[in-house]
Amino acid sequence: MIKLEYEHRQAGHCENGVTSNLLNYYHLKVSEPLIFGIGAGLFFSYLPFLKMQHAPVTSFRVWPGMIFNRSTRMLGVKTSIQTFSDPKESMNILDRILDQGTPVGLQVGTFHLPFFPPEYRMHYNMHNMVVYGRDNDTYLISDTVLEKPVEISYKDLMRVRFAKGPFAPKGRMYYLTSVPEEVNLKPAIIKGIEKTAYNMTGIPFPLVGVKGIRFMSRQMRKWQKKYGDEKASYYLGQVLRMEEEIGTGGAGFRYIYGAFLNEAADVLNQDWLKEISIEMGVTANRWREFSYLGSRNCKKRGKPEESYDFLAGIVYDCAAKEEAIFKKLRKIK
Amino acid sequence: MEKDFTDIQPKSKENLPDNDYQEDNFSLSPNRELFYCFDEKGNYKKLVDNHYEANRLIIKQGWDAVNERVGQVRDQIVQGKLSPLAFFMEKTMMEVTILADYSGFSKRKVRKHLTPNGFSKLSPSRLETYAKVFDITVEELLNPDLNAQTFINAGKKV
Repeated sequence: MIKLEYEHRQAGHCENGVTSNLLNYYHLKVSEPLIFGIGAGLFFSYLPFLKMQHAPVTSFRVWPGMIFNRSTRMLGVKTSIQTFSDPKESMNILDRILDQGTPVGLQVGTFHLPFFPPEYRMHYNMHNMVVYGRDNDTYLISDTVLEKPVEISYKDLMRVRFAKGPFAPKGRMYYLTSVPEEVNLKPAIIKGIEKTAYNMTGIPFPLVGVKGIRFMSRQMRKWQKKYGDEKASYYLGQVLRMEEEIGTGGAGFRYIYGAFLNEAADVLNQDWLKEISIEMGVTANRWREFSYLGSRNCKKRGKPEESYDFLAGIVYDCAAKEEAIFKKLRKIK
Repeated sequence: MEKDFTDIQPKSKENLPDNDYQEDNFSLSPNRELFYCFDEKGNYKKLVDNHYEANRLIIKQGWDAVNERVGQVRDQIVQGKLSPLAFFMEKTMMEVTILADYSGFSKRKVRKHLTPNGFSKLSPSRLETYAKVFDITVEELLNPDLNAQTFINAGKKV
C-alpha cells in the first residue's frame, strides 16, 4: 500500500492541471494559467480535409503533450517520458516508479474510463491524469476534470492506457525527475508569449492561427447551401463542442489565456499586459456569445434560429480582435 | 506567486434550467467542472459549476447524432444489408479503423465482416475476439437486442 501526499486540485484543462499539480507536489507553485501560457497552449486550426466524429477537425489549442513538454523545459524541470508495447511491462514499471515515491502522469483513452462523466466518453485518447498511490489491485487517481480523487482497478487502468484508435496512448507515462528549488518565471513567460503570438499571426499557412479562424468563418457561410440544414448544424455543433471542450469555459481556452496575461502582467511588472488581458477577456466573451447563439441552431433539426452569415460574422470579428492582440504581444520584451 | 481567484459559490442543482432535457430523459453526470470566466471590470475568476445551457445543448446534439446513426444501421440490419457487427460498432461509436485496431484484424477483413455474408462465415474464435472488444457474450453478438440504446440515452447515471 502506497499513498503519496499528492494534492488533488481541479483544473480547467487536463494537461495544464496535471503539470501544475505535479509541480505543486515538488513545492513549486505555478498556477494553471501560467503553465498554459508558458507552454504556449493557445492556438487555432481548422482542417476540413480531416474528419473526426464525421465532422471537420477544429482545434483551439496546440497538439496534446506540447504544453507539458514545453512548460517543463522552459522552467528547467527534468522529465522522463516513456511509451510501451507490452501492457504488463508498462504496469510493472508504473508500480516501480510509484513505489519510489513519484506521482506519475498517464495519457489515457476516455472511452473505457469507468469514472469519467458518461457524456464525454468518446474515443478520445489524449486525456491526462495522475496516479498517486496503489493498494494491491486498486490505483489512486487524481483526474482534474473531477471534483474528488477516484480509484481504478488494475484491469481497467491497463485497458485505458492501451486504448486504440487515433492518437493511441501506447501506455504513455511521464514524471518529473528533477525540479529546481527556484525558477525564474520571467524569461519563460516572455518566450511563451512570443511563441503563441507567432503561432497565431506568423505561420504562413492559411488553416491555422488567425488566418484559420477567418478561413473557417468563410466556410461557415457556405455550409447551409453546401450541406443542407441538418449537416450544417452538426458541423457547427462540432466546432462548438471543441470550443467548449471540458473546462474551457466556452471560449476555446481564451479565458485561461486572459487569466495568464493578467498574472503575467504582475510577474513581469508590465502594466500594458493588463490592458491586453482585458482585450483577451472581451474577445473570449465574444467567442462565448458565438457559442451561445450557435448552440440554438443545434437544438432542433430543420430551420436554424440564427443565420450562418450572422454567426460567421461573430467569428470574423473574433479573428480581427485576436489579430490585434497578438500583433501587440509580438513586441513583448 | 500563485494567484488566488475568488471562488464563486456554485448554483444549487435545483436552479438548473431543465426544460428540454427532462423530456428526452437526457441526463448528464452530477460532476461539476472548473471554468475560467471574465467580467467586464477586468477580473478573471474560477468557477466550479455544472454545464451551462449552451453546452448541454451541443453535448445533446452530439449524442442525438450517434443515436441516429445507430438507428440507420438498425434498419439496414433488418433489411439484411449489414451484419450485427455493424450495430455494435456504431453503438460504441467506433469506426472501421478503430475496430480494426481493437480486434487486431485488418481493415479489409473488418469491412468484410460487416456484411451479413462475411459475418456468417466467422469462426468461433473470431466471434470470441469481437465479443471481447464489445464486452458482450458471443450469444449477444449473434442475436443482438437491436433496441438497446447508447448508454447516454438509456438514462444510466454514474
